Amino acid sequence: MAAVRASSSKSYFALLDLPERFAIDPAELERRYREKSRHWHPDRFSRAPVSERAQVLQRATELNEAYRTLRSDGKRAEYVLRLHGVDVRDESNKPALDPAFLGEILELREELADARVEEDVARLQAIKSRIDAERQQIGTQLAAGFARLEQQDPTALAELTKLCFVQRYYQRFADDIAEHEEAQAGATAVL
Amino acid sequence: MPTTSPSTKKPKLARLPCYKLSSLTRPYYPCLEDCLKSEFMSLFQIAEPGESRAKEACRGRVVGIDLGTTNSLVAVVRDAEPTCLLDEQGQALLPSVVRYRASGAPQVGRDAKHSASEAPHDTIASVKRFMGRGPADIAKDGTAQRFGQYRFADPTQFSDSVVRLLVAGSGGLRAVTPIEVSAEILRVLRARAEEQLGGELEGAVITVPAYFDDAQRQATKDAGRLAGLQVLRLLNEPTAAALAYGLDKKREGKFAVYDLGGGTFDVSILDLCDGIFTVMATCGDTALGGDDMDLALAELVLARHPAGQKLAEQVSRDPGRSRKLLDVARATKHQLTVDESTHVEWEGATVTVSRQDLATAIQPILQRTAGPCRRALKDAELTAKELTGVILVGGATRVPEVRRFVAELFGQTPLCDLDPEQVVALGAAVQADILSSERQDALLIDVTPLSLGLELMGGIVEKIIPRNSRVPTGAKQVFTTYADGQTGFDLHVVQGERETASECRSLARFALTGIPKMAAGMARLEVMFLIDENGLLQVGARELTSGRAAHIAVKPSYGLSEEQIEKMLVESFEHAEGDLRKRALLEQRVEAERILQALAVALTQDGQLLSEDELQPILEAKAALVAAKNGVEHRLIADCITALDGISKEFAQRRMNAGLHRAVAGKSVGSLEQAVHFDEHAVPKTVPLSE
Repeated sequence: MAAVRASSSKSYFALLDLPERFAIDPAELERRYREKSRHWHPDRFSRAPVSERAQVLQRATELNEAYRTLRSDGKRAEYVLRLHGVDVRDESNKPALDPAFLGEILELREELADARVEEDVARLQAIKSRIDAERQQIGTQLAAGFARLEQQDPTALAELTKLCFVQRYYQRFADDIAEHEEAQAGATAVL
Repeated sequence: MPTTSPSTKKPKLARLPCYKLSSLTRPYYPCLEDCLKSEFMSLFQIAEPGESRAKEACRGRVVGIDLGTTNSLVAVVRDAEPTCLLDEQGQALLPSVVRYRASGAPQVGRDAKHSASEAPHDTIASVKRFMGRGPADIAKDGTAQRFGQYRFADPTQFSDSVVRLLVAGSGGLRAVTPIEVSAEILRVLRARAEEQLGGELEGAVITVPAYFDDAQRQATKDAGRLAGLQVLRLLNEPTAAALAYGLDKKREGKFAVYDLGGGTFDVSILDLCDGIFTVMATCGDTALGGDDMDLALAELVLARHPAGQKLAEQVSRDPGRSRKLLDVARATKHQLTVDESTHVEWEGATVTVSRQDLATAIQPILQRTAGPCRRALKDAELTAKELTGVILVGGATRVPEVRRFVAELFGQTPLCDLDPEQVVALGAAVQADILSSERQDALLIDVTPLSLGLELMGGIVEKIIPRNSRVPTGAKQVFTTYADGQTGFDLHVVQGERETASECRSLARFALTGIPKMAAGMARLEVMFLIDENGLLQVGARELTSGRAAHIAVKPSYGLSEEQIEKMLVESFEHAEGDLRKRALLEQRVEAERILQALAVALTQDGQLLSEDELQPILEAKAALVAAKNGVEHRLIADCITALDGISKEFAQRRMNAGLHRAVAGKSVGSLEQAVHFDEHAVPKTVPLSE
């Protein structure tokens, strides 16, 4: 999902006046985004000439895309790698993954399918906690990896690339579980 | 008085769109194309362009309109305060009911509502439920059945997928689209605003349920255009409400807006901070609301009626009686917000209904609102406890059980210090004011309610813009061919959260042709999607390897084509504006004739009262009026009448005095009083007639 990057070649970080690094303060991101929106939102230019409004629309679209990308740890990790010349959206960049890991994913998939069919809520919860724990651990590894990348560690880039692909498996898994929960969520009276 | 200077008076026809789908190379945002020239061969908007001129014109008289399922309102910001404009009876609410008749203009509002049971087929209520929807949609979800009193046009008679209703017309039945019905409502609100604001409107913000999809939004916008409004913005209803609340109460924090209207339910989570209103997530159901409560209550009344079983069958076959029953149910619902219990008189018996009965009857409806609330909170990454407040919006939230339910659901007492029926229109007026004045104290950042996706081989949907993305937002996708020598692509754009295209909402299909022959998988087709600040979709495409322009043809799945809208606009101008103008012209010509004759008589009788210098300007003004009368511009005639009236005032006064002298000299007191009486009434109007 590439950004619309026509009128500006600035990085998402630069658009939001943030340093180009993985570590980010969410509150700071939010603050910068608001600041920029105050200036670049199309509503601010409702009386401007058509040509100017078109540019503003473009700018505002980029700004929103930048915010969306940087806010998510996964998307931000992929984006930083892209800035380092590795596009993990391209499957041909996928490194060989550990067979044990692939086996584990396969096993989890089957378990999830079973739990769904049997409507086993407890088992679903257990799978969910396991996935969450894995994702948390990957998050820690990513942060450490990016710190090493900043220190010019030559092995960091390859490691991070692998982590990003691994992370995607778990992300897809988490999405599936969330979707299932949404579909299952009965009408309870309390949120 | 209308003026005639060209700078202030826009010819009505200037509102006609000059854009056609056939001219796709002429993009809506010319400069956006410039920006993207290196990137895209063509850029177009799936439907109408419209507001480029609208925004430029946007200064001064702008309004906010809440086009509701049950009632509609128009509001304006006066002295920095938003207020709803009232009709002649002092009512802000205009019932969203349109009655078509064999002759004359459609009746809109209270009168149409009250006579609904007389002409159930021709009286269209809750038309919002049909906006942007196809015959198949309303058949599938039961809307068609529920509104069984309407005559639906046979969809096979039309090439598009737009619901049409058959109503009374001058030459028998005619088919109207929900867009046209909505435009009738908007016209009344526009007239109300123009009368009270003293001139043509320069723009309007129209609200839509946050959960409306692209087709429903487009239909709303088309209705606005059809009513002769420059639609500055489509604004999500809960966002509008939050804007009104936030600015009025200077509130800050994270709020949930629970908006249960006549036919739609929305919930939005907003962050109000430092004048910036950020929508964090929104969710809803576009076919759920107060209407459903009325239906549940009607079923209850029917069940309790001694002859209920027999009546049920009769009523279901008699649209007039079923309409009556729904009216009774609605009145009962209103009564029960005041009283604990009420007696319902219907079909010769009295049925007692208590507030608790109502509460029980509407439980299934309320339960259906819980899911969207949960999902919105989850998407906003918040828990109910983290909310600063819950805001109630929509007439249906007046029902005490709804308030109790919301309080329990969110674990806190909801806010309702602004009128839940007016708050959306008030917020829309504020947004109109923001857009027209570029005031800096408030800014709205909204989201797209539904994920945007593309159908891939096998009917699977690939999401390209996730729901609750802040708008404007865009995405770019690259596609390739799957067969050798393939020269075209078919793309199917859908909206929704489901995995398969058939379960999502189809927005448009378009074909890209003229791609040079290549081996399978070699072509690189890049498609760009842009959701603008109105939540409307624009699409652009290019073929990367050949650099050749791929030709794009688009067919919106729902809604009307640009040509259809244009035709309707022209027709409505011919009918409404044309008729109006013709009548005004005739009236002004008669008035001009009357005045010219009176002046001729006055000059013959009392011409000696004027000096040559005084006579000259009068004769000039007279000549101008004669010229205008022979023209076709009614406003010019009116202006000339005013000018002649002003210039001959002194002459009229002298004639009056001379007349009085004559009367006093030889007449009785009675006829003197008559003369004075005559004087009072005649002078301010025009040159006095000779007696």
